[in-house]
Amino acid sequence: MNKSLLLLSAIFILFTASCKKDSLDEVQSVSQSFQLSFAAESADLGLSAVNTELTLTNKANGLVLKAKSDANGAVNFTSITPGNYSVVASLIINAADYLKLTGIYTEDDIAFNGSLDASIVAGSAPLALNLKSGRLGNWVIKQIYYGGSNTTNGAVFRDQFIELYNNSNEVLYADSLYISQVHGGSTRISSLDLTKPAYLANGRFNWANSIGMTGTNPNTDYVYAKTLYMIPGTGKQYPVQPGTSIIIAQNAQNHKAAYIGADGDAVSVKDPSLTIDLSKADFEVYYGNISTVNPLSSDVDNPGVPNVKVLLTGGIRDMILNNNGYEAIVVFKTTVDPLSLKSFPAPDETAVTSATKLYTQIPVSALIDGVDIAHTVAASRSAKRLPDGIDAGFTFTLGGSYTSQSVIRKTSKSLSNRRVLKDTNNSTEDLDYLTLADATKTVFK
Amino acid sequence: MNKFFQLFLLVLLPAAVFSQEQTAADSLYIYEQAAKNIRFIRLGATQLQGAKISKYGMAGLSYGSGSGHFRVAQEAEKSREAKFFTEGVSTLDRFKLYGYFFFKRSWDDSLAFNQKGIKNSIQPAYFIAGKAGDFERQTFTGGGIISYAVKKDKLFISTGIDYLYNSTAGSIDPRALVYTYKLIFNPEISYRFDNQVIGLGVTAGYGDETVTVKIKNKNFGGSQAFPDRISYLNYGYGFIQVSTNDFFRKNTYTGLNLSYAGQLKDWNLAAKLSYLVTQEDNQFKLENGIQFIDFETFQLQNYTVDLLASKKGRRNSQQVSFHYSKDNGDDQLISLAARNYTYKRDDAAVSYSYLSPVKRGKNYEWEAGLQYQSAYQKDAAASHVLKYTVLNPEIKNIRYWHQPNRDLLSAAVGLAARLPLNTDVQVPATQVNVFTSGVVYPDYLYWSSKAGRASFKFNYATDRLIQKFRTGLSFETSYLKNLSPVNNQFNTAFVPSDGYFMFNVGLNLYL
Repeated sequence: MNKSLLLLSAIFILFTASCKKDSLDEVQSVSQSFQLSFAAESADLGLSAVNTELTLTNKANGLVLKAKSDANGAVNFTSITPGNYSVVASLIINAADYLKLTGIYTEDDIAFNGSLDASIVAGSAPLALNLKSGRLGNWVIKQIYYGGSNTTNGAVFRDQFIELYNNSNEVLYADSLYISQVHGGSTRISSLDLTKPAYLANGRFNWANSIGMTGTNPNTDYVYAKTLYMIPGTGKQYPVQPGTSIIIAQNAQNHKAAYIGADGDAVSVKDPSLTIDLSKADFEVYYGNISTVNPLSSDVDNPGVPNVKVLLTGGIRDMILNNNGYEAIVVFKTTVDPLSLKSFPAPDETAVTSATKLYTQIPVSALIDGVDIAHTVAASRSAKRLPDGIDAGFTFTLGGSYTSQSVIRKTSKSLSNRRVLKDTNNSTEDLDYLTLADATKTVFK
Repeated sequence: MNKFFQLFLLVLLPAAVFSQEQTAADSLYIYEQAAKNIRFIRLGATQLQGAKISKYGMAGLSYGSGSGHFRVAQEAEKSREAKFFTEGVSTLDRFKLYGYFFFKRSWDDSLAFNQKGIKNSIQPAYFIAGKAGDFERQTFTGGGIISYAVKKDKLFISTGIDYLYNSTAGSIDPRALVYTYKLIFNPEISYRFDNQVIGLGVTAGYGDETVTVKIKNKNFGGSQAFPDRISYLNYGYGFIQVSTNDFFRKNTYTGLNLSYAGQLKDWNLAAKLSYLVTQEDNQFKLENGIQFIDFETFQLQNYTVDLLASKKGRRNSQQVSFHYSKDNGDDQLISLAARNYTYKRDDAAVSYSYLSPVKRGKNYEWEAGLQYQSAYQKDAAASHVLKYTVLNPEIKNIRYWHQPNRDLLSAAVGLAARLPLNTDVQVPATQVNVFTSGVVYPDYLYWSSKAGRASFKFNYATDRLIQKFRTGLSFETSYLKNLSPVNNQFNTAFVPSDGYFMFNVGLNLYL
């Protein structure tokens, strides 16, 4: 019996040993350092990157980490989960310090921003971030209502609008102001095949590989317009007072009430509290008179509200903003005819035919303001569309699509006669959201 | 084989065993020492052959509930369950059979951070959401042991079969729908030397789980406005990702066991030593809908030792039991090409019981036990570690009354304590997320709390109700309470405190 027991024990030990698999090396939480520096145009001004705030957003779970740089412009994050992150750096130098350091007088504080999308893994080398000071325009985008309202009880997307604000201390004229939706990818970065030449390592379109591309720095010196709208006017026809706004509506209708659509049927909502009255908008976008477009029945011209000029339709049926936030809006003025600017196919196009969509190349130098919008859920975000000099960050509503929410610019300071809105060219810092979009032009954050 | 057909067969097995039954078995279940002997029979064919019981059977219906705030974070605030259980042993010529069937329907109220199919299963990949929701579960298990004497009273070949089917459905967004299936075979060969039986068995089995999660209310989908409605896929113990991607889990079970049942002088001995490897492959379905791709694999090794020594004498009966179980698990997270989740558990329990002889229709039993529990969970990517070691001493007194008209009554009172020996949590500030504050910190508070438990159990069996059967009523209740205030140093929303109350009532038929 003892022999039998020994044999059985031996079998047991052999079996347990053979079933055990080898363990892999354990995942290590990682440290990642960033080295901040100023872009070439500011590099010799004697500025210090100390106290630049770096914001890391984990794209998998939305976890946000913040840290500030040391005197050498270095920022180190220790013990973080390896993965994909969006990184946004933001530095504001007040006007007095800026004068002291550079000898250059500015009326307002100067903002420097930088961003990148990084895959942070063990052993990653320090990542460089360039801080750029964008153009701080007198016009700013105050509110973008891109999400739309409930698809059953609300107005879906037909109540979308953009609000522009005069952030200066003088009267501005909206005449010939251009508003554009910028083209970019709408696929979450994790689903992209980044080995394709159409993409940069951070998932953004690599416009350098667009068919027929000419010129230098096509990814940083230009944006590519999908739609192009121009506010009409003779030059001084549409004055906008300091601290006031204009609203460009997709449909300048009172969406709380029913109205007769282009097909003669009523366009109505079940729950008026979910939507807004845009009948007093300053401008509307009307596609109904464009011969190449099959307009939506909800696109009804309000004769009391002037229409913007639709220079590029974008191949869509109205000024429809992407409900999920795969969108970026820019405003600009230019002395040249924007239709004379070059157009290019998206970088993922491998051939150009008569059906290929082309996107107009707008120089960043012409842009006054821009806002990059992102999907509410970090894991669903696509790559940014705007260069850092225009918007180093991104913004989104908390509720996401069809929740009646809009993004709105924060107030930087309140003066006796107007509010100055925050404009550091970093929408992560500059914008907040409203739980119900507001078209009265009187709401501020 | 069709799952429902398998289930049908397994329902029939205990029924077939019952049909041969002739002897009442209430004392086998009501006497604690005898009940432990029955539990050993369920362990395998060698124990079945070694047991001196040739026939018994029972069927029972019960309803139980548990509620309270002193619980781990991934347990429901209130749970209810209704159960039906039947089992039996029978001997037919050269065959000795054991069969069982178990059906449970359970309802969890306010269960957060746990969208698992089987609530307490050890698995790294599962959905979580902060919203405390309602879940309904249906569990069927069934199976048994068929043992055949190839050489009468000498050599036995046997196989055990265990089947499980579970469905879990949540009704609050994000709502899980999980179907779990498992079929395990335990072939065994046993040999009798005089009054000793020794056996060697292997385990082979397969299981799968379909895991889906849905958000019905459109307002919650793709929104950050309701943080507790965000569905995350947990890859271990804190490495989480926003996800509603359904997945499929495939399990294989392989194992080996050694069993012994026999007699040494006045002592009846039973022992089982087993080793089981559970290999788990978690897979996403590719877009073509046919192929699957692994995203995380997990291997869990379990070592278990069970010993039972019983001495039945004229003056008293004594019993010593020992149980030791050890789990070692680690995963492979494909996206990081490394090991993320580590799970270790050691559980040891020893108990001694003394049963006095029956005098004037009465006797009593004292039982003293000590349990040692130690667990360690680590998520490397999220740098989360929770470990604890607790000691649970328990003492129990049971009184038995035998009435002349064949009534049997028992009442048991138990007192137990939970003494934390070593508890530690490690999470860097940069890694704190919803799982940390919702699960890891509250569980640390729970396991680091000193607690006491009082229990009461009542059993009554009689043949007055139904003439052909012995009928039993049972009632069991316990209350677990923290003995010191919980210091919520992490400022978590959920703090385990204020006790946990359980009760169970049952109606049994002893055949």
